[in-house]
Formats: sequence, structure tokens, C-alpha cells
Amino acid sequence: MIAAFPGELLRIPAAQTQIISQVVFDIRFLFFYDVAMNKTTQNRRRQFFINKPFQLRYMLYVSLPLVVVCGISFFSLYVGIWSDILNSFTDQKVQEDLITATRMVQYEEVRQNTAPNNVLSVFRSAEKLGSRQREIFKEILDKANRNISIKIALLLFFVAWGTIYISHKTAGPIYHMLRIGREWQNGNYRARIFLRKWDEAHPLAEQMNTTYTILDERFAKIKKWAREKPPQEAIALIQKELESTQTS
Amino acid sequence: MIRLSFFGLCQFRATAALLSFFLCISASSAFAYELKPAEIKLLEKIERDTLKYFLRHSDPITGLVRDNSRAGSPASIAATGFGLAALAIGADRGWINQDIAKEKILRTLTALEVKAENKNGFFYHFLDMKTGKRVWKSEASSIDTALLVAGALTAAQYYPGTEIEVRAKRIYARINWKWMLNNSDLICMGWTPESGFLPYYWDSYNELLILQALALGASNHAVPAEIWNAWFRSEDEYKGKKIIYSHSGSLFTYQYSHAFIDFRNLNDGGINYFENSIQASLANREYSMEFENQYKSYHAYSWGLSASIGPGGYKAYGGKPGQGLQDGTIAPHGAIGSLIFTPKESLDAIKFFYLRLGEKIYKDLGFIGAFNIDKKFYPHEYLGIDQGIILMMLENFLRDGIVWKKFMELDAVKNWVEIARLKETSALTAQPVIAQKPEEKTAVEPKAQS
Repeated sequence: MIAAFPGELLRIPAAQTQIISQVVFDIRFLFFYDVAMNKTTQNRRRQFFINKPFQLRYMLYVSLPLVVVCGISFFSLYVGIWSDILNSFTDQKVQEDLITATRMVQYEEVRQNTAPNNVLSVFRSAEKLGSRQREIFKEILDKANRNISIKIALLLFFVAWGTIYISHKTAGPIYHMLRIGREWQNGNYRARIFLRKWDEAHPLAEQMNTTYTILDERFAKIKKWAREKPPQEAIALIQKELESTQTS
Repeated sequence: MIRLSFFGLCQFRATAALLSFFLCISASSAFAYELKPAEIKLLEKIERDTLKYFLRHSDPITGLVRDNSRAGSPASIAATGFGLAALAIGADRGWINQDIAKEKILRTLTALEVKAENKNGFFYHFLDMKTGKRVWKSEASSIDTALLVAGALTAAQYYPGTEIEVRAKRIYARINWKWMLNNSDLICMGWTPESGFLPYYWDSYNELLILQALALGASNHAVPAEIWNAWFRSEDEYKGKKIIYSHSGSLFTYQYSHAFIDFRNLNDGGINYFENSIQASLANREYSMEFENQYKSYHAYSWGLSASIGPGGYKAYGGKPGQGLQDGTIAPHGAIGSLIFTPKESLDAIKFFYLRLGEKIYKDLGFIGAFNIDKKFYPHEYLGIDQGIILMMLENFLRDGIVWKKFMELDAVKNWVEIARLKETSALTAQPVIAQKPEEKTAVEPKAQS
């Protein structure tokens, strides 16, 4: 689609306006040709690394947080569970639990007025201790699950935040390019793409800015000739100016 | 006779005589016993030291109280009940800051209401100190829930019109007492998720009085009136003392309900449980004295057969009537818990324990759980419920039954007195009446409607 050239505003004769519009179209087409060509051949991907530093950088951006998340998760799970198990089953703790198990059985015997039977009491104490150990394991696993859930939630938050931050380095330039592209589409060739220091696509932006600087200068000359020169001379100058331009 | 050296015995008697001589100013109590200032000072020191257990062995967040002082002990709901009452008493005494006590009681009640695992309002006997979750596969216990609620309601009486009262009464109101009957006319001891109701019921006289009182007097889910007459009041005689006795003969069974309820003027068809506990305490003392030639721990001044830890573990030591289990182990809380029943004998024991045995059995939190001189058994261990009964009985004794007065004002207690038709009578004239012979163990006939 060709944008309307604002010839009316500059009081340029209709014939000249048509020529200039054609020129603008040609230049735009030239610019987007490369992009279009790339699109048609993109599925081939014979060369894995098209932009090696860029791709490696992004590989790092994605894989590093994943390694960190997985590492912390596994480490927390492993260390959390094992440290709790080791803490819960120290000699002292086991001894305490054994005494408590015996005491629990004795409490029951006292309350239920059942005559203490040493053999049965030992079995009942062992049963109590076993059930207590299952409780402890369940507590440990519940605690580990709680801890890991909190850590994963936090890590996911940081990863999400990091993704937004990193993607901003490409999303930002695309946004700026689209915005400036619309400016160019509307005929403002003075507009330039300005990117942040750590943004991606600096070479592309520079290339586009250079292209539009050339176009801007060319249009400025054409507009000047159209405004100041007699029509025949202006046409001749424009034709000469556009001689080197390749159009379809 | 206790194996004291002649010099040792003389020293003890001389100390007691000196105390009596120098401290001639006496104070009277509701128990018609002349208390000397030194005795008051000693009892207050014991009460204050005992209170420390509930501060040191309770969780700072949930307020749940440890069953015993050993590391790794879970929380016990009965100990927590005593702890709630103890905090209110401590604050009333000025031993704890009022704001701190109120905050701690409220925090405990909140944890009990929100966190503590329960079944139909009945709390599990043992809970995790921090989470309030059931531990050790313990049962949802009827008697321990009753002791907890009794403690909570006692604390509520110290702070009327506050959130403490609201929460305590809410915890009480949500208990489904009827459910614990398990379609019988006796209250079941407990319930577990694994095996349902336990095959044990509160079927005879012991500490069940407080459970019965709360279950009958409740405004929600109260048990029917006939439940009061469904349990055995077995009577037997020991050395001329007729006693409605508990199976174990342990002193605590004659004391726990009396820590909260003033039975002095209540007459259960001729039985006065206060008088009954006096006789039971005296019988317990005399029973242990029967063995004073066998065990060094037993002596006229050293008595108290009650459930406690011993050289062979926790046992229901007790006197006669009852099974009368003894092995030379004395539980100081036994004699102290009977202070309201037998002031002179209990005070003699307290002074002996404190002055003669001293540091062996009296440590940072008061008297240890038990001792056995023959076995050189002096475990540095405290049980929450032992500490609770010591503290509450001392408070009642020293301050003219202040806990009783507050507890007896509860609507639930008034309801129970009315439902159970406990005709008021004077303790002085009340006589224990034979309800059942042990061998005729059948339910007591419902009393005639008055």
C-alpha cells in the first residue's frame, strides 16, 4: 500500500506528485524486499547459527534460569528432606521418641486400668514408635513440599520477571521500529529509530536510519527542485536523481 | 519409719519447731487450719515456682503446653487446660504481667479454636506444639478435653466480658458430649480415626466428676440427666475409713475434679465427695505408712501414692481401697494435691519434702514428678498435669477457694448441680454413704426425684 504523498500541503503540481509517489514506493519496496525474501526462505535454515553471538546469548538467557530453577529445586528438596531426616533421627531424638512411645503406652495402661504386660507393652510401644516415625516422615515431606512450593513460586516469579526484562530487549526495538515505520508510512522521513544501549537489533536500526536519511535527503532535494525550479528542469533533475534507483 | 539418721530427724524436727516458735503469727484459711506466715511464704514460693512450668514449657505461638519437661514431648491438652488456669491465677497474683497473661491465654484459646485438631469438639490427647495437629495416633479424649475446657472456663472467669470468655465458651459450646456416649449411658474414654470409639468407658468413680459436670451442664449437646447415675460408686473400707474409691486408688483421681469444683456443700444422694477425698487421702497416707519398714520413701511426713513416673516407668501408684500399687515411689504432687483435704498431713509432707529432701526433689520448677529413695530415683522431670494440680490446689488453699468460687459461678456448673440433684449440705455433717459394694458392681439406682 502506498501512502498518500502530501503534495497538496507542499503545493507541488499533480504530475510531480505522482512521480515522487512512485519514487517513494520504489524505495520502500527496496527496503522491505530483503525482509520478504528472507521470509520465503526462512524454513530452510541450512545454517544453524545465523547470528551466532545473538543466538548464544539467548540460549544463555533461557537455559541459565532453567538451570538455576532446577538446581535450587533439587537442592532444596534433597537438602531439606535429608537434613530433616538426619535431625529427626539423631540418636538423641530416637531415644526420646522411644521413651515417649513407652510413656504413651504406660499412660494408656494407667487410664484403661489394664495390667501392664511387658511383652505386649513392648509391642505396643514399637507400634506407637512406628506410627510416630510415619508421622515424622509425613511432616518432613509436607514441610519439604511446602518449602519447595514457595521456592518454586518465587523462582517462577523471578524467571517471569527476567523473561519480561530480556524480551524487552527485542520487544522494545520491534515496537520502536513499528512506530517509526508508521511515521515513515505517513511521510515523516525525519523520524529515526533510537534504541537503548543494551537493546538488540542495533545494526538493523542503524541500517534503517541510514536508508531513511538517504531517502530524506533525496526527498528534500526533489521537493526543493519541485518548489524552486521550472517544471522541465525539475523533471530533468529528478529523472537524473532517480537514474540509479532500481524499481520493479 | 523413714531411714533418717537420728541427727537428720532431729534436725528436721528442730527446723519445724524453730519455724513454729519464731513465726507465731497465724493466718486462718477456709480449711480451718492455722497457717503461719512462714508456711504461707513457703507455699507461695512453691506455687510461684510451679507456675514457671507453664511459661517455660508452652509454645510461644500456640500456647500449647508440653505434656512433660522432657525434650521431644508433645503438647497435652489437659496440661494446656491447667496452663490456662495457671496463667490467669499467676496474673491475678501479680506474678505475671496482666497484659502478657491475657495475650497468652487468648493466643492459646485461638490456637485451640482454629488450629488444634479435634473431633466433634473433642481434642486429641496429644498435639504437635507448633501446628496443633494430632500426634502419636492419640485419641480424641473425653477427660482431657474436659480438663482443658475446665481450665479455659476458669481463665474466662478471671476475665469476664472479654474475648477470652467468648472464645472459651465457644470451645465448650462446640463439644458434642452426646456423641461421646456412643449410644450408651456411659461416656466413652475416646475415639480414634483408625478404630472409632475406644472399648473403655468412664464407668466408675474417679476423676470423671469434672467430665460429668461439664457434659451434663452444657448448653449445647448435653448428655441426658440419667447419665449421672449410670456409673458405679463403689465403696470399700480401709482402716475404718469408708471410701467411694477409684480402681487405681491413685490420689489424683480424688483431686482433679476438686481443683475446679467445690464439693464441700454438694450431696450426691448422701455422698459428699469432698469428705470422701479427705478419707481417701488419709487412707492413702496410712497405706504407704504400712510399708515404711520396707521403703525409705514412706513415712508419716512422706506420703502421696499417685500416678507418676517411677523407676519402672509411669504407673498408677495408689493406696487402698483400690489396687494399691506401690514400689517405694512417692509423688510429691499427691500430698500437695490433697492440701485442701488434709491440710496438716499435707503441710507436714510439704515441709519434709522441701526442708529435708530439698534440692534432691525441689528444682527450678518446684517439686519433681516423683522420687524413690531406695532406688536413688530423682528424675529431673515434670509433668504438666502434676504441676497443674499443685498450683490449683495451693491457690484454693491459700486464697479461700478462689478458683472454686469463680468456677461454681458458671452457668454450666449450676445446671449440673440442678440436673444431678446434688442437694446442698454442709461438709461437716456430710457422711460418705455406701453406694455399692465392690463385688456388687452394678449401676446405682437413679436417685429419687426430690
